[in-house]
Amino acid sequence: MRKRLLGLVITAVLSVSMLAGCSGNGTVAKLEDPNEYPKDTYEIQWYLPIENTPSDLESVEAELNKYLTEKINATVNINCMASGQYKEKLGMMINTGEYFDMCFVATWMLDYVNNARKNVFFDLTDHLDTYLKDATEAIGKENLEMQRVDGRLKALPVYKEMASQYGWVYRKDIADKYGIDMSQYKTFEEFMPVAEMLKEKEKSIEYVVDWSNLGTPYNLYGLIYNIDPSGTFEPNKVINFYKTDEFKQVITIAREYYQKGLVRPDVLTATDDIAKMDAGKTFAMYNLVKPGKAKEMFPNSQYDFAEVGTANIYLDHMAGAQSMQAISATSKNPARVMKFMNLLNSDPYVKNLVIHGIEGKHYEKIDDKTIKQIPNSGYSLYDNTWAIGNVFLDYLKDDENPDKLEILKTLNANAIHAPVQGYVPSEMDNKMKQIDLDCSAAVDKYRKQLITGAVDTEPTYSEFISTLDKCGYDKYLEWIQNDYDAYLKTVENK
Amino acid sequence: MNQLKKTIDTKEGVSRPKNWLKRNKAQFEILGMSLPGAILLLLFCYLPMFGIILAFKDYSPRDGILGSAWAGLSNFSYLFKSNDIFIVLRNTIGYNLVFILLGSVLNVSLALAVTSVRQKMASKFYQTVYIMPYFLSWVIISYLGLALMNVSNGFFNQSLLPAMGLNPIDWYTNPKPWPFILTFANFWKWTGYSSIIYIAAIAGIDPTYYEAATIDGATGWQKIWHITLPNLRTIFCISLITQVGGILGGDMGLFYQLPLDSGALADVTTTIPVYVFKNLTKGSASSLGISSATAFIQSVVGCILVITVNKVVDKISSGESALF
Amino acid sequence: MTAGRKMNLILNIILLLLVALCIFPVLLTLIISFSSSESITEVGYALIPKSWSLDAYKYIFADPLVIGRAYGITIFNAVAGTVIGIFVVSLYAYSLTIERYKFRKFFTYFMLVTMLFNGGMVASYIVNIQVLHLGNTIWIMILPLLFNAWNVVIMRTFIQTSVPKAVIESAKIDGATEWRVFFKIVMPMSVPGIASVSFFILLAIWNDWNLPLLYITNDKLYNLQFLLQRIMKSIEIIKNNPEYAQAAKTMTAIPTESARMALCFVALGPILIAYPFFQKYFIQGITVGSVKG
Repeated sequence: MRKRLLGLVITAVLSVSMLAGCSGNGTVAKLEDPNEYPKDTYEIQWYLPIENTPSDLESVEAELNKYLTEKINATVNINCMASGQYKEKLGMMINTGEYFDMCFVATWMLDYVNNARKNVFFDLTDHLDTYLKDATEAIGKENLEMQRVDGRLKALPVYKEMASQYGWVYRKDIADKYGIDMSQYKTFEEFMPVAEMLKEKEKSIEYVVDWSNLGTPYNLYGLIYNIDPSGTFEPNKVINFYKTDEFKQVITIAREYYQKGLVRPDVLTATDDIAKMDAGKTFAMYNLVKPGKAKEMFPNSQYDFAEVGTANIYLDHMAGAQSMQAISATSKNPARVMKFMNLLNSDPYVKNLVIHGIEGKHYEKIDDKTIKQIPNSGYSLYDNTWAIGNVFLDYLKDDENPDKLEILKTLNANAIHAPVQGYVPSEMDNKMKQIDLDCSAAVDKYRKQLITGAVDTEPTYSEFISTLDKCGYDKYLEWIQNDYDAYLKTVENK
Repeated sequence: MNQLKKTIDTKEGVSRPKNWLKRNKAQFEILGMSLPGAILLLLFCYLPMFGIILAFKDYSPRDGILGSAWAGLSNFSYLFKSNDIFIVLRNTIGYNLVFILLGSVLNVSLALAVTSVRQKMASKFYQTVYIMPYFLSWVIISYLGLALMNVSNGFFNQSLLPAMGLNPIDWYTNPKPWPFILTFANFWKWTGYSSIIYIAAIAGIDPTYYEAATIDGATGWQKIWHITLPNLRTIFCISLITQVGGILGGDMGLFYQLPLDSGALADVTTTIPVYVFKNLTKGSASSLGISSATAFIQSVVGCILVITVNKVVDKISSGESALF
Repeated sequence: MTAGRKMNLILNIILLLLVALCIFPVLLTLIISFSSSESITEVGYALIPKSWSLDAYKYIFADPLVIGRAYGITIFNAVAGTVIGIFVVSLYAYSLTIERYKFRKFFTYFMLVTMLFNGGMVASYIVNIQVLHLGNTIWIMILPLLFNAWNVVIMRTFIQTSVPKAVIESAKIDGATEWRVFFKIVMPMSVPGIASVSFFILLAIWNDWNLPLLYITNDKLYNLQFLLQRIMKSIEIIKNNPEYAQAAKTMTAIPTESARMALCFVALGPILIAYPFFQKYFIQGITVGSVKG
């Protein structure tokens, strides 16, 4: 009896393992013709991270499906989940090879680079001129280049502002009162006298600068894998940034700010930076800015805020740093999903239906580019448009700057283009990976304390450097240099 | 006792039916009692056991768990080859030893104290209050901790330390007090909850023992020493043995959220789960192999310890208080 | 004043100090949940805030239907789970105490192994979804939490220590079946054990939000803790991923600190009401020191 029971357990365990073994194996069927109207209807399961599912999702889906059935004979089921659940649930679905069609990914959501390498997303590289022709034209081929991993494109980026710039978000009323022109202050050294003056004279604020969101002097340098895209350091050369005088200067000035009380004393642990600034307690933050940023950060504040960009404009370099939409490798009909993806990024009707809902029910049209939302209509995903698809197709809300989209395009056009921005390190062998893990553990332990100025630069800085040396940081840098040189060759050959 | 047993045996012996089913009727009856639980264990614990092989695989979702390439022991090497392994091991084992040993004593003491109070209403009130901290999640506790220890306007630095004539402390960059803070926080959250089973065990003691002792003129202390404590021994030992199995584990909330992930405190707050989460997997799903390998080590070490401690307890208590 | 009374007084004083230690943070949390967010930004956490506000609770109860349904789900899960669970656990535990049971050793180890080894989340997910098809069902929030080795061990110990073997044996001589012995003798005699194990099962089910996180996507099946915790989960993601905060603009849309504190109490309330009910049974016996001579 005991043996029989044991036998039963073993059989059960084995049968599950078989199942687990097979679950991942999807067969690749021949893709349907891109130009032909398919005979069978296909339902696309689409997953999005949306904090609050709109209550009237169903009617929008119905309207969307009417249009899509006519165009490509497909229907879409939009599955919304709060980002916390989305991350866990989709991560698990991907890891267990569960079926779904399309989802949102980024480096910080579902780990785009690693998952792309594990082939869990459908490879779009060869379909850009067929199924995704219109979308590719709308986004521009050059904008797809940076999102490649090992030369392959595994997800379609959302076309939006793809560049960012550091600068100041500040209390405009105070700046006007003292005649301060924030656009002049490109470094924290230059700003220091003003900061000291404000600390002394302006009693309504508690902190002159708040960098608990890590908008510290460190951000003046936008190095990528220790390679400088902007030309401050030697181009295309990997340097040990932590050993440079520039880094020492960064932590010295941060400490000086901290000791003089120009940043908040609890900068290391504070999480209420936005709330404090909203309540008028902070004069300025060094932040990523774009036109309209201050309004976006503090929509309801009683104080007057403004933003000004002071640093170089960089393209968001990492693959998947931007938001993207990927097709699952488990999709039963990737061709049809691509057709939908194509419409979503090129057909204004589809995109606006998804983000604004149905005209007359969820919004009123003011002119051909502007709408007015109907309050409490039960549908709007406009706050999530950056995650869904090409924002240059969007109808703007009546209270937005009508030139917003033009301004974003200019921002993209003015950004620094450097080859390193498209670089993703290749996969490392186990030994290198170990070094990488150890080094990032060291950086994780020391960098934040140093760049916020929360601790004395010595002995922490020396400890940091010696730990990095011990971990083999030089070997890591050498590996990156070799890998990067190889990458440069592939770029040149194109 | 032996005689009783004999009676039953002979009784069965006399009327031994030929049919195998009938002969083992009592066994089937008992089997029926084990079965519902056994099925649940089978479905929710044993069926997923195949996941353990993930520790030895270079997992690729496309190939499934069995189909993925074997990785040998490389998933294990990250943990052991890392620079901080000694600090991490020291912290994990150190904290757990304190939590298990001191914790067991505290749990019993609290249960004794609560049940010794003469007023029943008061006793109930204490118990209800003591389990309240259990319901606060670590995230909330970390907010409260920050309210106490914030460097600028925290309660300690603003009110308590000046009142005692001491200088303010930069709590989140100063590792020295943290072993005590973490230990305190752990007991604060768990002691009330963990003492419940001791309170229940005390309630289960046959009152006639106490009555007899009272007649013999025993004092309160003597009753505790000679009646209550011996009656708690089994549950005490068993809980000790089970907890030892988790010696390489650790509560993420306590070690990661409460110190607000401050790098300056890493030397005293990093335990194995925190280290794996933060430095080896970065919470990314693609490093399943590493987390599985860690879990495997934790289980194996735990298993060895449980068997050892169980043997020791078994010897000392001559079989009465062992787990198995 | 006798020595016993003096001891009792000292004991009460110590216990009252501990009460302060436990109740103060809880009270503070409660007060913060009723503080206005302006007050928190200005003076931080204070026992007497600058201004009071019900905003946190208004935020949580914005849609009473949703939270009401979540309460319903949680209560159903907790009640059904505890009732089924306590029977399954006690039966299993009792079977392990019967000496003539041939599979006693086997089932003891069968249970103990699960205390130390588990297949991990991915394997569990595959089993629960692909084999058992429990995704988006109410059972996924109950079944995995009903039964665990630790509860069985406690229950077994209680049965062994509080039910004298002689009583059981004599019942069997009178011809009682094992099931009858279990219901008529074992259950009534181990009430404190049953009460505490039921309470543990109840808490496990009541507080769980990890199972819905992975297995429930139908918002009509969300339980209370998940409804509350998913907000905290999202805050965590926003906090740890500046890129997200940058893109999502949700920084200002996330609930205030007072709302997060309020979440605690919304989930905690019913349990604190239920607790004395269980308590009655595990201190029903006697209190140690109070047996008078």
